[in-house]
Amino acid sequence: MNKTKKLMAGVATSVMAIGMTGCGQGQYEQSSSIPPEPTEYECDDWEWDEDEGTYYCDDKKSSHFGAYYLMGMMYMNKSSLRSSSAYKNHYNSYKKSGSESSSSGYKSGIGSGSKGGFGG
Amino acid sequence: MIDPNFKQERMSLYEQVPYFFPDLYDIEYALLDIRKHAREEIEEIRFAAEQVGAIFLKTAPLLRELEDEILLQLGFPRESLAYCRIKTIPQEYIIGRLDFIVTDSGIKLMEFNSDTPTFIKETFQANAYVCEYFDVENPNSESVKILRTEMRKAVAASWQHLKKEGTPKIVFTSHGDNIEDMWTTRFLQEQLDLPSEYVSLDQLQVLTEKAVINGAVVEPGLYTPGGSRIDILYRQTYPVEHLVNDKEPVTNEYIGQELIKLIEEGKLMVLNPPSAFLLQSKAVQALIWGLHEEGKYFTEDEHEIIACYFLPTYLDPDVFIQNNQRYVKKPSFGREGDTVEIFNGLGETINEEEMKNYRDNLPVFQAFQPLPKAQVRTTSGEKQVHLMYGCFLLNNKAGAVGIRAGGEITNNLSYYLPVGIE
Repeated sequence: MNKTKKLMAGVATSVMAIGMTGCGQGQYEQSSSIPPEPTEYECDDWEWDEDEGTYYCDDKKSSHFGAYYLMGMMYMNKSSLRSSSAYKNHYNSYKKSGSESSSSGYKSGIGSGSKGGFGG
Repeated sequence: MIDPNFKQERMSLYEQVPYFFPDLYDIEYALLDIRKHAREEIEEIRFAAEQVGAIFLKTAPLLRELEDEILLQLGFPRESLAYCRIKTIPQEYIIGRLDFIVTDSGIKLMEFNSDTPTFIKETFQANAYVCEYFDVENPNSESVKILRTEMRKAVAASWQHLKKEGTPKIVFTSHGDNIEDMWTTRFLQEQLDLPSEYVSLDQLQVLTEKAVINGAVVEPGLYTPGGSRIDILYRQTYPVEHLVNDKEPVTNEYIGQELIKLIEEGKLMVLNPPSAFLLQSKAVQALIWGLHEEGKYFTEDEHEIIACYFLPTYLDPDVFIQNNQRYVKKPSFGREGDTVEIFNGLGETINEEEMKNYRDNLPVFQAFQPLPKAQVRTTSGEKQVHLMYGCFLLNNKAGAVGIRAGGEITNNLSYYLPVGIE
C-alpha cells in the first residue's frame, strides 16, 4: 500500500486546508453553473431561460424588456432568437492545403500524436 | 440459425441514421437488437449517475489544490499540470460518461470518462431509430434537449470569459480521417444552433508569436486555415494526454503544448473545459475511495453514496491479495479496455486485453465485479456477451443511456446494444 498511503498522506494537508478555510472554493464552486449576467445592455433584471440556455431581460423599465441575449446580440423575443440567421448552423469543410505553416508563421501538427479513435 | 435477410435488415435500418457507423474497423458494431428495461430501472441508473457525478464535482476543487507532486502520483502528465488547474467557466465538464456495472444487487461505477467520451451519436441519435424499429419507447428521447442546452450554456460561459466584443468564432475539431470521431463531432456541431465551423485537427494553425502576415499584424492564437482566429475550440474526441505530445512537422517543436499555453494565457477557450481532464484520471477514484475509508472530506450522505456506488480502488493491489479477492488493474488514462488485466486473489492474471498501449501509465487497482451476461443477436448468430452500461452526464444532469456488449473486458470491438423501455 506504499503508493496509496503516500497519496493519502500528501492529500491530507489540502483536505484540511479546504475544510478549515474554504480555500479552493473558487468563484464558481459555490454557485450554480449559469454564466455571469450580460453587462453590455441596460437591464436591471436578467432571467435565465433554462430551455434556451440564454438570458432574457425581465426589466419592464428597460427598452430590452422581453429580449433575449446571446453572444453579444439581443433578439426581440424567443421566436426571433430561434429564427435568426445567426442560428443557421453551417459546415465549412476545408480542403487539405498542405503545409505552408513555417513560412507564414502559422504552425501545424495538432493531432499528430495519434490517428484518432481515442475518445473513451 | 442465421437469417439471410438479417444483415440486409440491419443495414437498411442503420442507413437511415445520418452519417452513422454501424461497422467499425470493418467489424459489426451496432446490433440490430435491443435490451428492454423498465422505466424505473433506467431512472435508477440516471439517479446513480447524478449521485456519483456530485461526488466528482465535490472532488474537483480539492484536486486543483493539490501540489504538483500529488497530481503526478495520480498519473497526470507533467506537461499537463498547469492545464489541469485552469478554471475558466462554472461547469467542471460539459459531456461526460459514467460506465456502470448494473446487476440485480446494485449499480457500481467502473469509471468516469469526463473529458473525451464518445458513444454519443449511438445513444443520443441512433437509439431513437432502433426503438422505432422495435416499436418501443426510447429512454433517451429527452436527452438531446439537455445536450443542446448544456452545450449552449458552455459556449455562452466561455464567450463571457473571453470578454471580447462581437460574436465568437466557434470551431469543432477531430481527426478528419477517423469516422467515429468525425461524425460524433459533426453530430455535436449540429446540436449547437450557433454559427460554427468544422476544421480537422491537422488543419488547425497555431501562431505562437505576433507576426506580420500578408501585410497585417496577427496576434498569437489558434487559427483556421482561412486565417480566422478561433475563440472556442470544441475538441470532444481528442485526449489532452495525446495533445501534449503533438509535434510540429517541420520544426519538431511540441506544438500541442503551445496550444495549451494559448489556453493558459486566456487566448483560447476549449470544450470540454480543462477541469474535465482533471477528473479523467482513474486514479481519482483511488483518491475518493481513500478519503471515504478515512472518513474525510465528504459529508455523511456523500460517504453513503460512495459506499453504495463506488468500488474499492487503490494505487496498489495489496488489499485484494491479503483478502484473496479478485481485482482489475487498469491504466490511469487508458481507454477501450486497452492494457486492462483481471487478477485472482493470489495476484495471478486470469484475463487480459491483447492491446497494451498504456503500459507506461500509472496503474490503478480496483475490486473486480463481473459484468452481467446476456444473449444478443448478431449477423453471425446468437452470442453470449457481457454488458456494460454507459450513462452520460451533461453538466451533472443525467442524459442518454446505452450498452456496450462484449467480452469480460469491454474493448473497442465490443458491440453497441440499443436500449428501449419495455
